[in-house]
Amino acid sequence: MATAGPVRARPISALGERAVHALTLLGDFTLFAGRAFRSIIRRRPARHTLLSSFYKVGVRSVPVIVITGLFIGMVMAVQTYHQFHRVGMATRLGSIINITIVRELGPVLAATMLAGRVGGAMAAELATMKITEQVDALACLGAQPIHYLAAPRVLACALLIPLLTILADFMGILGGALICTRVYGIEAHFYWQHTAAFVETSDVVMGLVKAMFFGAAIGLISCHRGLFSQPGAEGVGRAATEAFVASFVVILVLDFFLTILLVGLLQWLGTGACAL
Amino acid sequence: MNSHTTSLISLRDVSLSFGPHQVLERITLDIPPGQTLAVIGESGCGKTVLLKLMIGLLQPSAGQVIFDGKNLAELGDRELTRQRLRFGFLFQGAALFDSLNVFDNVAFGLRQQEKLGPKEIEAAVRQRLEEVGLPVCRPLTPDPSPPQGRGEKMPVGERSLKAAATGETDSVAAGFSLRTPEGVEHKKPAELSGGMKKRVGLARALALDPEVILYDEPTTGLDPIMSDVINELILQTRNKRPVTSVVVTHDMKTALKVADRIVMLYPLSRLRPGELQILFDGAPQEVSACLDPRVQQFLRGEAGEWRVERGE
Repeated sequence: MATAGPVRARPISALGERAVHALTLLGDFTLFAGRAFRSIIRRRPARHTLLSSFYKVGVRSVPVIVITGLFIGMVMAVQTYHQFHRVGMATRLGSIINITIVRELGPVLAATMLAGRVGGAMAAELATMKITEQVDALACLGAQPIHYLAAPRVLACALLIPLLTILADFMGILGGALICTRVYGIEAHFYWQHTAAFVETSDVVMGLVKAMFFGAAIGLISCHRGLFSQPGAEGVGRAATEAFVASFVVILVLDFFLTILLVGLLQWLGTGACAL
Repeated sequence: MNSHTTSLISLRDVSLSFGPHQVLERITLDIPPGQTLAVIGESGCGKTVLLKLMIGLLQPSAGQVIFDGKNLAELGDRELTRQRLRFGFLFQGAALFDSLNVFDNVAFGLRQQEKLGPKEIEAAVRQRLEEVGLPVCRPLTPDPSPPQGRGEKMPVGERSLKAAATGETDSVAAGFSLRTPEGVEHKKPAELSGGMKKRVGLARALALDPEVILYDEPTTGLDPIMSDVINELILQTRNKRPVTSVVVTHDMKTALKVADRIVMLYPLSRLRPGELQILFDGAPQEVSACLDPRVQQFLRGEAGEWRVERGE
């Protein structure tokens, strides 16, 4: 009987511990994000750290974005053609494929690729630097680790992901068009006419705005996981995995809320314009 | 006389915990300027943590760390960074930046300061590498002209760098004759041996002409000859400039050779109730006369019955 209390209390205390841990992590992350943004606003990161991050995040992501963008467009075309063809609306495929790509698939695809290719690597790199005391060494030599390590990476992710999204959009549109016009024989004129009628600049801009948020989230999450990793090889591995998983989950959650927000904003602007 | 007023570094009732695990408890330590203090003790007793507290890389859970009259916990980021630049830190694994070569590692702190031109930085790096016995092979065109527009405003800490840049020191003069193909400045840290890494780490720690040098296990993992080379470099560094040094080590040979004072820390988990964590604090010649069996056990390097009885 004497042990019944503690045994019964154990799952509750474990739950409480987890909740406290999660809240602490969220608080840590919020403080970290605040410090990173403050650091970016106060002083531009050094040119060589920026260029190196831009190269790793931007240039080296191009091949994977090109390939995945092209194939996602082609898959979209294959998946949708038969349904639309059955109801005699195959020429409308241009609008449905391209609006899906610029609004959703392009930004999410670019962000997912970035999280997988860059996020995990950044977290592992920073975690290794941390456990080998290189982060402490930076602080001892007059460089603030957040400014020197996190700021250029976050900036690179946030600023370059819109460009990668444009590339993903372009390749997706190209892939969809190739399959529709060359394989399924849809008249190119009608395909593009419907695209032009339905896809608006605001759709593209909405995708790019969302991508920028995704990029900032990937950069912040990956740097945070890296700089606060646990010691040892296991800690580095866990940091890389957590960076990718957390980034991916946050991309989808952010996508939902940003879509609601931006669609609402567009509608409000539309009604405002009509009222005027 | 209050010892705090004459101390450069002062720890007052410092405690530190990582979550539920307490590492340091009520440590009080005053280090006067110019002293070389060796902190000894077995692995896990909190020696490295003590060093990181001194430079503000860790904040104490309780108590104060005072450096040159300033409580490190009360300093803002910018001021803390400024104070840290008065320290040089030789890390246990050297902590060289993997992505940079030896030259860029040693030049890192100087470049962060943005006070010296490329040629002055190159000369300063050359001098530091030669000081630690690593001659460089990169040809250097000596530029004896002082930097434009700085003149009298150059801070005290940069004088030796400037001297190096203008070729006024013996070691730089010697450096020109030591130009050999074995120069290491282009090598990445992964290509260096353990001893070379430590020497590059020391060169990097010395690059900013620090007032205090913190050595974390400087001879760990090195062969006896290289260990002695590092000990000699510590002595040479102390003799060349008026630095205060704190050497964390479990190598008694190092402690006895380089230190003016030895402090022995003991793991909190094995202390008897009410005991202080510092078991010994005195001159190196007094340590062998200390009657505490735990100090004697450490000096002899024996596992001993005391530990075996407890299954440790």
